[in-house]
Amino acid sequence: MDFSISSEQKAFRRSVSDFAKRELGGDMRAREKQGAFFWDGWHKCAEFGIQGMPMPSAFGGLELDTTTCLIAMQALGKECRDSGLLFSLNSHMWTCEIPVLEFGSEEQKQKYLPKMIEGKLVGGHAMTEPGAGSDAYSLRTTAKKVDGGYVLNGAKVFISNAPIADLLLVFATTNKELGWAGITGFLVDKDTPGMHISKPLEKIGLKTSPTGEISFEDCLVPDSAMLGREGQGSAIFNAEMEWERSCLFACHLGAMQRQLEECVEYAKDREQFGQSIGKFQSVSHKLADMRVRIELGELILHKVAWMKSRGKRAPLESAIAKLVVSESYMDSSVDALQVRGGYGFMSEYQADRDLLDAAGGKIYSGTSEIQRNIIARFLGL
Amino acid sequence: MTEVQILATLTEYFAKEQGTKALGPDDSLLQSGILDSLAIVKLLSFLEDEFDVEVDDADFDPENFENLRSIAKLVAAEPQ
Repeated sequence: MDFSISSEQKAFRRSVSDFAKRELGGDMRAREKQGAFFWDGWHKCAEFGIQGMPMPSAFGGLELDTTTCLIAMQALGKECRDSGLLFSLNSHMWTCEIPVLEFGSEEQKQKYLPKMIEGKLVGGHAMTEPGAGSDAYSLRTTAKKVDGGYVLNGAKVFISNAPIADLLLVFATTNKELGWAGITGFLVDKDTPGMHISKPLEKIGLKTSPTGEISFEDCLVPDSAMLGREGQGSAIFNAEMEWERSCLFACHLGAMQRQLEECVEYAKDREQFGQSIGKFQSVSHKLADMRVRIELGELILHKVAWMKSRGKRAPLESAIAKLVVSESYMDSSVDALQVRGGYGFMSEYQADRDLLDAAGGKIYSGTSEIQRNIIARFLGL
Repeated sequence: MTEVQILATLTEYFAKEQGTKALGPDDSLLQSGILDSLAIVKLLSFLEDEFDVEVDDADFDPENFENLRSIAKLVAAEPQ
């Protein structure tokens, strides 16, 4: 089994790292205080090619394989502290661009993909509702067929990118009796009459990634807005979740690498009781655990990428990956704070952002409990 | 593999999954709730592994999963 990455992949990783260090810094604390989206960073990412990484060159993308995309997201996670920007990028790419690519008509692909790749259009994904979170397919937003289109009525909540999105992939039921099999996806442009998007919601983490609520009141969309066919909503959702549960969480691995490097440096420099604290097993064992988590997280994420590169489904593996990496990020964030003691508790070290971002990671893309449900189902339980 | 053989394998798969008596070829899977949102995910992986067929997401149609007979037809028609 060959675990190596190619020289081209190494070179691309280096270029992404250099790009992130050079262009994606700035005053993160100020942006967080204002809840401000890093637009300059977004456009610079588009110029570099981030938004187009997995996309065909025919639409202006870089046409990179899944593993290379994963490696790039990991590099971004390590070198870019603006986790909100990264979260918005991931939402845009895996839950809006990819569905348009995999399920869209030629017209839809031509209309949206080039501009999404250029960063001129921001995509979002509207599934969750006030009464449908983990039980996503119990959603109540309806899409009633009328002459020439569908009329949407309902409400969505916790929608990433909603306040800044130009395009939203909206999931609604076209046949309630069929449950999950009656859900359909629609591409809805912002400013479509009848769709109302809230101001950004105030969150405890990922503060620079705008999140909002959406309501639909007799919102008419044309037939051409349907993504795929009636009843394909679950297929769209399942397909994009495999991408999100691998590539988005690669950013977490990158953050964990950064945490470990900073903690190792701190443990070597900080002296107590006449020696560097890294010599005490209570500290070195924590750092060892942080290293183990990164290694195991990389192995499972790369397995998912390998499967997807070969056109294989990876529902079980992506659930395991998401569960392992999100919980590891939380564990490492707690350890990173503890290793740095009183200094770690000072806001200068930004441990709060890692902790709160990690907390979010155990919830979005399907909670840890839902991932365990999926895994248990594959065990026949 | 013939459609009849595929149907037999699917019948055995569902009997094992549901832990109940074997389903008939035309028994409802969707309307009855037997094939829920997690079960379809697992089934699609099973179809790929067992029959070496790819059910393309872009071609996914819930009608093809209404009963065992329709799934067997789908599998038999897919390139292997």
